[in-house]
Amino acid sequence: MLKMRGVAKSFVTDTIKTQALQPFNLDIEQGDFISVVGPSGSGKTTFLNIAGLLEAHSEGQYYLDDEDVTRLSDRQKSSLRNQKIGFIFQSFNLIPELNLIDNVEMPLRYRHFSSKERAQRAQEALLKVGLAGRQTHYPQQLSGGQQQRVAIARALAGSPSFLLADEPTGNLDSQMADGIMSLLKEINEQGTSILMVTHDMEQAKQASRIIEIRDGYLSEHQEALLA
Amino acid sequence: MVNYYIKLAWLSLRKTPLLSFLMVSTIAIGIAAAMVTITVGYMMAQDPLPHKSDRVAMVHLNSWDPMQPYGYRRNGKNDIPSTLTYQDAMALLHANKADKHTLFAQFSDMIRAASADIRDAQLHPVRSTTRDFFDMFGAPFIFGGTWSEEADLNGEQVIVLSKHENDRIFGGGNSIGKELLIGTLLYRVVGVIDDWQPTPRFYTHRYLMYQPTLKYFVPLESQIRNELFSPTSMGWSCWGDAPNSTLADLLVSECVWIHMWVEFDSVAKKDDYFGFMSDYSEEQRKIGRFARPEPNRLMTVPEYLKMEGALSNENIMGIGFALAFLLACLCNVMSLMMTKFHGKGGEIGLRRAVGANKKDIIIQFGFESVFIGLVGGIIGLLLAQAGLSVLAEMFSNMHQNVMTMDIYLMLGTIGLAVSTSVLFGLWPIYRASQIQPSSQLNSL
Repeated sequence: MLKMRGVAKSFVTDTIKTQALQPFNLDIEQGDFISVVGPSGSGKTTFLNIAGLLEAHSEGQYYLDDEDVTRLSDRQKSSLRNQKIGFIFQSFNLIPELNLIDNVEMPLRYRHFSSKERAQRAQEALLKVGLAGRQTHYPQQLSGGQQQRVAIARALAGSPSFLLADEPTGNLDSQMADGIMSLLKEINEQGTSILMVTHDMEQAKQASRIIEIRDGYLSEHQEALLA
Repeated sequence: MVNYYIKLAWLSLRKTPLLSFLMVSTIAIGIAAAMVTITVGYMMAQDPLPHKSDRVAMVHLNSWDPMQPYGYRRNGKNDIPSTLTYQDAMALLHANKADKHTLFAQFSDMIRAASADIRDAQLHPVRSTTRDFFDMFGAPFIFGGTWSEEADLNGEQVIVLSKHENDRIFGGGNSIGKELLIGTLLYRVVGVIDDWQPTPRFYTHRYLMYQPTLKYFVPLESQIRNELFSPTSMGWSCWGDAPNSTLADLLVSECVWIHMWVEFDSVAKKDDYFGFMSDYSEEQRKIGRFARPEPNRLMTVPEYLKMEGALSNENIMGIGFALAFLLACLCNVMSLMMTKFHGKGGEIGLRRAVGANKKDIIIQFGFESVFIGLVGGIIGLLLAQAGLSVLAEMFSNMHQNVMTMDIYLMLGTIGLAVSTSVLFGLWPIYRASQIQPSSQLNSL
């Protein structure tokens, strides 16, 4: 479902060309749970942004569900993100002025669903993350773990093909982090692919595949399969 | 989505109250300052007779002193009088070459109800005129009407008064047939006109154009026959050394003091009338009058207003300065919007990540700009009303119509605020839509 061939990323200034990601190939199939590890500044987030169509790659071909996304317009990429990709961020990225239902509904608004369908999908997503009945609460009324659950509900509301999670437990204590990891595994078991950047090797090992990025070079580790 | 965007705009204003206050108040102050000056200029520049201003014209005859010009216009050219001598006014009136004629002058006297105590008498200026005055200039009657042709010819003691005076003296009822005393002369009420204030009051001198209309009107001939002469309030100019200490002296003198307006059924008749004026001048030259070279004038309402400078250069400059101030305010608003929208980079990144395209972002912040402009416009409108009230107090000699916004100006105020807010928001909105989502996702 996700195929990258010779994808690379470089940043060019007036005098310097910085190679953030060296050319790499990658295939992700339906139901994969992939952890991306590597030291800070190695290119993990750049890789995630390229996978999530938030940033353009400099070289190579990227196919999402057999569609070459390399030359899509901004509008087409936005539409593809909206329909096929769910994002989960380290700092939750909830809008504090909006209540939970409005936060979760946000992707659905850009898909022009009716208010009835939006509400139904958002309620189902909140139910899935264990926050049914808190729809009218505001993010600041929740704990960090609960806020991340709301962010996961938002990512799930549009029924995406895969979730991109950028250190989803990075701002949580270990108990809350375990809860979020359990939730992600549960979602993965239901068929949604997950690509998760993490610093925590213990969490990384819970994935079915581990990709390491070091100095812009991307390589796949096999120990996850052995774990 | 419209409701959603309105909700987001409202939440955004509430989220940053100080920034929102600064933006809204900057727009409000700029709009208020602009609209106060625009209102005064706009109201001063109104066409007071929109349906026939090109068919109503003022007669200026150059009967002045052959030795020196009447005065000088602002362009330095010799001027001619804008009022006529009695003999010329009567000659043109009786020639009856236009479809309607209005002559007018004024005097002042003590006025009271015939039944009232003498101590209730008040000094008022009185318009002495001919019966077509009301129809030609659009004065609306609420009781009765203008006087008869016989009243003009015979100088009957009949009077038309304003609603304001009818309310004061007769309690607002139908006062037709009741009597007023002008000095010691009994005048019978034949008509009451409604509150009426052409803006500008185009038919008189420039320096009187924004003052209230007079409240009493009588036949010019009744002023003549009763020798109602008040030299200090009549507005007259004389040359030569002929005696002019009584009204009888004035009638046979070369003093100018009577305004004359004519109305035509069609614009084409105006040229014929000017030809008639030229023929009249030629005849007068043969008997030793009209020796000056400057030509006569027959000016329609717009031409007269332009010549008199009803909307002065100072007004236009004032509007220019106010618009420059508005521009400065809007530049500040643009800068504040840049700050505000830049501060929303995290939200923009998030919305872009979950599927919003650039157009969605532009619409969202466009609504916010409209909202800011709308609130600023409403507050600006209130401030402008307050400003106009203060101006009306300061310049109480000018009629309040000049300091009052009509519905078009009110809607224009809101429209100007919203459109300029959107216009000056375009750049900040464009910049916001160009934010790279991946760069902002950690800043919400």
